[in-house]
Amino acid sequence: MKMIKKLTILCILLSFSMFTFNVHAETDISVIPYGTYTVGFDGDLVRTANAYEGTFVLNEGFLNPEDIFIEGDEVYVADKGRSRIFIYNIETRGMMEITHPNLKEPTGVFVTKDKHIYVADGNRNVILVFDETHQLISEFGKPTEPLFGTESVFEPRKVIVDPRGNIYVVGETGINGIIQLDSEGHFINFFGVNKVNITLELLFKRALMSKEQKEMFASLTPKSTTNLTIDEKGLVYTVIKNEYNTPLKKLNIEGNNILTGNTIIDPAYVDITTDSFGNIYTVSQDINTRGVVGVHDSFGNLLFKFGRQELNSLRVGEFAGATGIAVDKYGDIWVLDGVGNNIQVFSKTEFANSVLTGIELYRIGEYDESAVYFQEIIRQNSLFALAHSRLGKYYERNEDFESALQSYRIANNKEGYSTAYWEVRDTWINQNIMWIFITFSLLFIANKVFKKTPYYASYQDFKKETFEKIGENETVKEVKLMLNIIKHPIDTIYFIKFKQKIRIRTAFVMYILFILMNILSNYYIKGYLFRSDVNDMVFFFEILKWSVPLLLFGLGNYLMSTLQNGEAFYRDIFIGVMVVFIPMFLFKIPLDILSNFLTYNEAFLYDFGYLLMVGWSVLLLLIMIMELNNFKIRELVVNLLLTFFIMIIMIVLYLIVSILSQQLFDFIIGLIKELIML
Amino acid sequence: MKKIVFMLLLSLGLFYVQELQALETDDPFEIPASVSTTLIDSNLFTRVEDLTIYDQPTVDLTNFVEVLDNDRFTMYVNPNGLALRVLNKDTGYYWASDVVNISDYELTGAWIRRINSAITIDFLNESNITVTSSMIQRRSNESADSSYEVNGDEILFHVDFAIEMIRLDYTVKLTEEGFEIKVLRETIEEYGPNRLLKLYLYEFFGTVNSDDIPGYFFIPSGNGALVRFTPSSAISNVYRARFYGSDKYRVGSSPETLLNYPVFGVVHGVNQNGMLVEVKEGAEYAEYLYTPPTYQTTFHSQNALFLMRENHVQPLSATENITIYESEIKDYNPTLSFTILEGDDANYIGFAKTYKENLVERGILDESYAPDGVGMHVDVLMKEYEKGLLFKKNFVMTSFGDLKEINRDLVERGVTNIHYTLRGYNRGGYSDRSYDNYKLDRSIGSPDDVKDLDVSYYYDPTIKLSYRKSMPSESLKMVNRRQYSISRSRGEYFEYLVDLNVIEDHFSQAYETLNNRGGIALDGISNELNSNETMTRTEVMGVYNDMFTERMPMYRPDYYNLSHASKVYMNLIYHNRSRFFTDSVPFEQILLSGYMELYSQFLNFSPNIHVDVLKVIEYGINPAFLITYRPSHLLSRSISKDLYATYYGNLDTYMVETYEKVNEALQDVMGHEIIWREVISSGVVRVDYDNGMSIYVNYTNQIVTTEGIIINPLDAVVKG
Repeated sequence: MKMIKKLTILCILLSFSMFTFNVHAETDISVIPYGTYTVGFDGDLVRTANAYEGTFVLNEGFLNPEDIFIEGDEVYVADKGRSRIFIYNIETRGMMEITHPNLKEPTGVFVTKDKHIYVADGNRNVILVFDETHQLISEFGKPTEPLFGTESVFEPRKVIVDPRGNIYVVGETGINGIIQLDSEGHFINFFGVNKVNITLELLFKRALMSKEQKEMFASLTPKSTTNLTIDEKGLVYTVIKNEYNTPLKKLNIEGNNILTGNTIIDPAYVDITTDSFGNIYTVSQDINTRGVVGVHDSFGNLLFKFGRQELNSLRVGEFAGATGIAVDKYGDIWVLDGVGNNIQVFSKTEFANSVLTGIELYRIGEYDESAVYFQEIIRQNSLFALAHSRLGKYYERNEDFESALQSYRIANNKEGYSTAYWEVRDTWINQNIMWIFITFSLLFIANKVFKKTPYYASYQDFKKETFEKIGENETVKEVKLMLNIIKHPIDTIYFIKFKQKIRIRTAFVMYILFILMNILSNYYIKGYLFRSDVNDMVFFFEILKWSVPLLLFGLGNYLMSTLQNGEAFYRDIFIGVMVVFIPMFLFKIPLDILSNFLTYNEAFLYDFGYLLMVGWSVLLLLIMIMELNNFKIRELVVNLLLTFFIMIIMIVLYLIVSILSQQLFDFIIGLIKELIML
Repeated sequence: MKKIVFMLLLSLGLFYVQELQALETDDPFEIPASVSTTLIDSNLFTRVEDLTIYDQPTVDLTNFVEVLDNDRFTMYVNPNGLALRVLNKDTGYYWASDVVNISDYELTGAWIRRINSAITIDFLNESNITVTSSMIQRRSNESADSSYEVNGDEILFHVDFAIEMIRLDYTVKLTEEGFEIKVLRETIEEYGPNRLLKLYLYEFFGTVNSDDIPGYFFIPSGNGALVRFTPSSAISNVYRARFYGSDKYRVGSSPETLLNYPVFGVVHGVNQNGMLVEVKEGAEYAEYLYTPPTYQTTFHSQNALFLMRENHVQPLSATENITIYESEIKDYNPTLSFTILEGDDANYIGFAKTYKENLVERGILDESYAPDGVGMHVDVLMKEYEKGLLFKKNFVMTSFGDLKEINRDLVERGVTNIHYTLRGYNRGGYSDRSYDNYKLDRSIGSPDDVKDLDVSYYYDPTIKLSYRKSMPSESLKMVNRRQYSISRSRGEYFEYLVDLNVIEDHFSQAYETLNNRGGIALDGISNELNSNETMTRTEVMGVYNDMFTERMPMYRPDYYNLSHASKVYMNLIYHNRSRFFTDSVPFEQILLSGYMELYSQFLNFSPNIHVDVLKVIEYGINPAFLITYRPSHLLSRSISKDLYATYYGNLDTYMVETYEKVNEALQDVMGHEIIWREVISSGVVRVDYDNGMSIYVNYTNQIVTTEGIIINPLDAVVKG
């Protein structure tokens, strides 16, 4: 379906793209060169007030610097092109550098609490260790332990050291995971291997993709970690470039990811760091990235994304190619630009301060205080979904479920909404059960009483008369017949085939009704919790989505049936396909109405009901095909397989025709354009 | 059985009511405000001045001839290359168009020759290659021929680039304020195959080597920025900005480097010597260029270069492009006017005050439009819609009745002098606004509800928004025959520019209608200067002149529209954040103080609320907000989703507090001119007004005691 959608868009757009000139720009409300984004209600990026303002730029003769690290007051830069480690003191603004004949191309730098400097040299493939006086004290090359393996390569690019002195090395190609060495440089273990989930979907994709696509999207070899960092507690965080599932991970001791937060997948991370509160900062390098710098909370929820990649960047917040990120004791972010050869420093704005304080209070369990901050954040940006979610949680804890419901609804947090809704519904039932019971009894008694009165007889007569009159209508007769399919499917099919009791135009109207019912019910009637992504629905495509399979199936089936010497006419199949969906006609809308009142705890009710409804229809469909064509079971199976096969053929045919006509269209348009130029 | 089920459902349904209410939060709690120290040290603030006295080394005038002289200045010319030097008799300072002691520096021969040349040209040769040529060439017989005649206080120069076959004349006139350089267009002649593209006129006035001279360049980016002379620069690239922004008829995309005023300046020794340069004619075709010391030389230099022919890239097919140049040289006389300043006028404040005098003289600034007390600008979004599956979902964010409520609330809490501008009042909603759609929508109520209030209607005839990529017929077709369209929000919708001819036809009618309704607040053409097939930029300015019969409130007007503005909305409080800038200065606010009502950019989108309110107080302008009566998250799926914080229910306390704070500080100085501004220490500023009052502002997190005044953190104090 996606392909059809794409192609149709293409055709439409083509007719209009003749004379347009495209440019991307920012809005007029703010004049900042880069926008700052946070996660909005639909899980997409929305604008927010600036989180960080650029404060100054450090331009000290770097050449392709690859890594940056801050320890205490000092900033360490792995300046690859100049073969040095550059050191800058934030307070004194003093500068120093470390050079050594053994230091060729530093690509990674890490400094321990006792000021020992670990450097990964990407040229000589060693780890160098300097002490606090900047003297070289050790050098580790490829581990010789048999566990490491003679075939494995040792190409260290990034290095970190944990509080016990163990060294973690990320290599150029490390499909085995992160290399863990002890403080002497002896190999201990491979740590944190990236997994590849082999699913049916993956294999299916591999069957259809080209070699390059396979490598990018459906590779069987795990990707190698791009960069890593370690926090105060000794937990390791990694980022993986070109990874579309979990590019950002916080690893536990076993090497499994423990982040649960809601973030936007960014396949372009190149560096990661953390601050003393556990907040995660990332930096990306890709021309299409929505934000170069990303700030996440300790759960992995995306808070801010800002910065643009721009080759000839002249303004603050634009980077030619970011390669590193570090955070100092003030919470200022230092971004290393490896292509632009400078460091840009950003300070928190008051807005970011509110957000980070609120997040921190929530993390340590001060929910009441954090609620104050979240309310302030909502005041400053009502689209900040995380703030609404957290506020909802706060209301939930205070048992103010109505407010929690509203907050979760605004934040589009369905799990939270479900929980809060359960409580609200529970309260409602408790409050109103008395009244419901009374009303019900009253109605029941009224009904009974009514039966006793003389009016009842005239009501009965009136009913009988109207029903008879209606019953004479052709359409009503047909509908009655169709409803019969629930109890006597085979009889109904007999009537369709031999007695031609159901007209084509009725079936046609029913087709339209069926499609409309499905689309509109999904959009307007279905309960909030069970709705899927309604905002992207385009009416035209929805119609296509429902009508094309139905029609194709009918057509394909007829074609195959005739080949197999089935007895059905197309007319019968056309009508039959519609009649078998009677269960859906009957139950879909009530089911959707019911879904409004269910929570995720009772989701099985909805799912089961849906399954029943659809399954019944499918069963009826099978019966119908069998009966209409007078097939045996084996012939039926063959027929179904062939039908699907021919449906695919028809789609492929359509694609070929449309691609070719698009080429023709292109050619003509190009010709016209050139003529206009003259 | 069925009946029972039916009755059960009925009774349930009768009781169940589900409605989604808006989330109104309580009053904002007092969250302790604090500002980051590195922010104060950044280029978003002004640094403490370095008042080192600069003594100019003795100037060697051996190659120079004295040509003009008056009470204040003496002018010298170097007949070889026509370099100029002007002596300020009061201070004894020489301003040189070449570098004063050029032999002290390591420069290539090409640079030395270029610096010593008065004029450098860019031209297109027969093989369509752009060549740059200065007057002085390596072989002296290839240099341009030049001569001059002195007529009273004016010199007429003749320059003939014999090899390049281009000649032109220009005049230099010495006045009581400084001097003026004017190229005479009718004398420009291309008597060969070469086509003149750009003109660099006396590029190196005010050039400084590294940090030899304490001082700065002033650039009118945003509300004003300074580039101090430092030994190195943040970027090894040049800074280019076009006056009045790029011409969207020619250029589709441009980084937003634009300058709203046709001026720039240089200070050699703060409060000692300074020079303000105005591009008196041809600013719409001029480009400002700043060259930092890490780019090819160790000099800081700035100049305005004049474009004589513009070019565009014409796509021929999907892969091929050619560059096409204009066939004729543009018809204008490139003119630069230099005002030499000294003493207390040799700084950005002096620039603002001097320029203000010029504007008053020209009638652009009129005292009768000066503000009278502190007010507030409240921009109100009325109606917006969101695309639904079948139908549009309309949101009336603020009706007229709601506006009356808001006003009553604000007035009750002590806010007076409120100016409302309404947007989204048109049929369909804010996203459907266009030059011809300004009739009131039916669902927003009746304007009679607000007839006692000061209400203007926002009108931006320049853009049209559309979800479809199809071009509206009135949209601007660029010079390369392509539609000008910007895709916003990653292709979700498109923005088109409307052709000026179409706007022109409709404007008087729209103006009259909106004026009768209450007033017009103009955006779009107040700061857009786009030519089209039939009009050049200069002619467009003329069209604006004719269209605007009376002064009206304008959003961010450029310099050429200032004479038609009665109020300025969305006044910027920062520059455009280029990495070159070292300081942010309120040049524009000082320039317009006492003559124009200024309202700030919308403070509800500000990330540093306390800092920005202090900026508003420091610069002496009025606060402004963009609000809606209903919560802004309703807009989250519409085109206006970037208006993320407009809910009046959340903002009201903040608006009232801001007004109180600004009113308390500025009520006695609003309408008076700023005469001096001083940065006492990092993050502490004092602004002096012509009535003797001063405002002290403290941006730091500590209590500051200075000049006998105690200022709390993030607070302002008035001293009479």
